[in-house]
Amino acid sequence: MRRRKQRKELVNTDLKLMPLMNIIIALIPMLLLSAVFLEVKVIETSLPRDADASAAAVAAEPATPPLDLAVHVRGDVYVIEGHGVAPLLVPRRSASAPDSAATQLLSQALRAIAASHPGTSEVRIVAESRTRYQEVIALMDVARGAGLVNAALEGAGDAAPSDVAPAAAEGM
Amino acid sequence: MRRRSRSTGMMERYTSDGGLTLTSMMDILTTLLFFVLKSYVSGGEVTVPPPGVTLPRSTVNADMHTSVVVAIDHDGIMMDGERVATVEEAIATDELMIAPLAKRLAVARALMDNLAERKGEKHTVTRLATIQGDAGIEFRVLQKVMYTLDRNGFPDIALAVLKKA
Repeated sequence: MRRRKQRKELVNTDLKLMPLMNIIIALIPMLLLSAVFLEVKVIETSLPRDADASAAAVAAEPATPPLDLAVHVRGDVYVIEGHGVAPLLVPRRSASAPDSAATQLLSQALRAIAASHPGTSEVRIVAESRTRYQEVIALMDVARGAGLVNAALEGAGDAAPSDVAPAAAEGM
Repeated sequence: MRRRSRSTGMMERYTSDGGLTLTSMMDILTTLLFFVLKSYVSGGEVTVPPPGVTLPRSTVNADMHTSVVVAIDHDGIMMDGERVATVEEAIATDELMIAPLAKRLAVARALMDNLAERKGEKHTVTRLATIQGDAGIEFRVLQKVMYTLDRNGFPDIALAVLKKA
């Protein structure tokens, strides 16, 4: 009799996992549905500062004129310009983003300029009014890859493709 | 007899009560749960571009910060999820300032200043704005939005992009 009583008191020590399983099975699809798998990053940029402020800065440091490097997006060419840098033309074949050949040429040219002007990290991307946003971002990527991490955006208006004057006076 | 008793003992040892063995599955699900939860907190500020906006792709690796968000799609300009102007309105004039957006920015700036004052922050509040522009928009629209932001107290501008694989 005593032995039978002891048998009845045995307790099942297995964990009851089913309720926890139910919660987790409901939780995982919910989290997966609301998860964002696209990584959104940001490019920090600014508008070019006023010409007066730049002039004041130049007056304060009269040693050498600033490089004022700019990449212009024109009809069928990209033009790289800067003080003391011979204008360089790179063919622009695609209107949505620079093709691989153009990217390579732009990258090489900007790297060479950055290497010959140590400490330079600024570049202006001067785009036409109808230039696509993706192309502007691609140019900023090329400049960043060449070490020019501070890219400012500037509008060129609807200037003629042959007009090589920078459009800093556009207000941006 | 001896053999029978041994086999009977083995049977008894391996006989279960019919319940499922869920421990290994629990391990998998718990690992998955932690993985999904981690993907939420690893990226800092999480944002989703509004429907209809396909962000451009870039190689940049800077994380997003909390800021005023201005989205631009092919039809309109939205601020904090609300449409404030159409693209047609914005490009119709030669002026760089987009008046309805400027009005909304002034309200947002006043709110931010008020909040900073209540918090007792004496230093100037850094006003950051993020532009979520569709990859296909024209630069003139972006230019006008950037100009409006700059002239309305948001000189620090971040362009939202999707990270290239």
